[in-house]
Amino acid sequence: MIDADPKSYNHPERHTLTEADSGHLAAGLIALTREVWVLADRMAVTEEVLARRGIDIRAEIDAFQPDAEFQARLNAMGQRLVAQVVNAVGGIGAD
Amino acid sequence: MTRQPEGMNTSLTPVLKQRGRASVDFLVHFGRGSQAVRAQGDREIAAAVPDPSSLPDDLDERGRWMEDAMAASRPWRVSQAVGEWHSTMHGLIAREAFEEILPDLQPVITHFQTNGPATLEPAAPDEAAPFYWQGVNFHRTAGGWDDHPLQGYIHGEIVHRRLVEAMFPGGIFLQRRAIAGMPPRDDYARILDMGASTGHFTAALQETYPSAQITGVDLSLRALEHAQRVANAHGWGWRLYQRPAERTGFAEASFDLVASYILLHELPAEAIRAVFAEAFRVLEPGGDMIMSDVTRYADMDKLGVWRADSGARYGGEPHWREAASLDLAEVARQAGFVDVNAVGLGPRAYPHVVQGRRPL
Repeated sequence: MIDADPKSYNHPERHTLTEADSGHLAAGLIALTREVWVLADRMAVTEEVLARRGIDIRAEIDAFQPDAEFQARLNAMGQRLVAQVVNAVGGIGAD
Repeated sequence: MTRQPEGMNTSLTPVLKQRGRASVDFLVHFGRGSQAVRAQGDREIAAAVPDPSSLPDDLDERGRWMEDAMAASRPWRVSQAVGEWHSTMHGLIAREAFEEILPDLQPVITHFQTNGPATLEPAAPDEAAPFYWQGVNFHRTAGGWDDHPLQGYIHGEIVHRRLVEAMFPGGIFLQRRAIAGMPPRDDYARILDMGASTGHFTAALQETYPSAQITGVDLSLRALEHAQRVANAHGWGWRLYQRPAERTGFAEASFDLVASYILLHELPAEAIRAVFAEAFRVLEPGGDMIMSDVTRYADMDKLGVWRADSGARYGGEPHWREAASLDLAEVARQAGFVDVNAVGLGPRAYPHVVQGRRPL
């Protein structure tokens, strides 16, 4: 039967990672940090190049809505990024 | 369509800014990008449980047995962590994305709340919500359904239309339309939607039966407020009430169709029986009932039941087990319905659809 108080489902005690995962977790975090840095570097370079040409694109980026083709590219990039990190933690394709 | 002030954004559709857009998209990337880990976890589950029928009968015991058996599986542990992050963060990310666009949206939200044919009657101040609803963070939505003043918009437009729609393209809305078209008559005049929420299924009913007068009840005022905006934006005169489905307060024989979509698993068994009894009471003789809910535990093997039960445990679904364990066709017959049939549609028998008729 369920717990008497349905609010007990608000914050269930779920067992996830253990101490045995900490090394793999560090590997995943480092992989993620690299990806974030590559992106941050690229964004900074893009803005700098454009600024040197007199173009401020920050507001336009904020309002930008991808079309279907570009969204598909973004989806593939995002999925790849997640897979790199999660697979590193989960040990998929490491051998 | 109702007339909007000149120059106002006229659409309720969220146009997210870059941070919010990329963050909501990331939730989708996160789901797809972690498929390999989940698949490996599934393979290791299959190896650990070659014969699902040998699993313990008691669901709590089965849950403990499975978690003990899988504790040594690294992909399974990571899958659990991935699932936990998604459960706790999806609502907060949607809320953050909403806050970014609120200044642009506020005029259109206010306009469609107050301009149009739809009406909304909140519960009386002294009317307490049922125990099974009070304080429960369904779907692990931070603070529950009514915490954020515009939670209905956030859930209906960002979580459902942006996030869930991206994960299951077209699926959740096509499914609602398909079920709205299942009742036996070509047309209905007075329809009650039990658990109308933000109006996604209500809209499918209205589009299927354009001339019907639709009434909706739900416990969440925030969700109903968004249903009202949706109705007003389309020019639909829905009558919305913040009332429990098992105690609607409507006169007997008020409707010729009573419907619900994926409401029942949010209720304990006793309330579900009361909902069917209430549906029978408010239907006119000869009126039709259609209720849809999650896959029955009876339609799965023991491993499938464990997956569903575990998903409910960690997904903010305290009543799922009781609801999914019920034989809804039998509940309908006990309420007095005749010509009852129940069928699991689609892959994995989801959704489970029960239909019946109040005899003449």
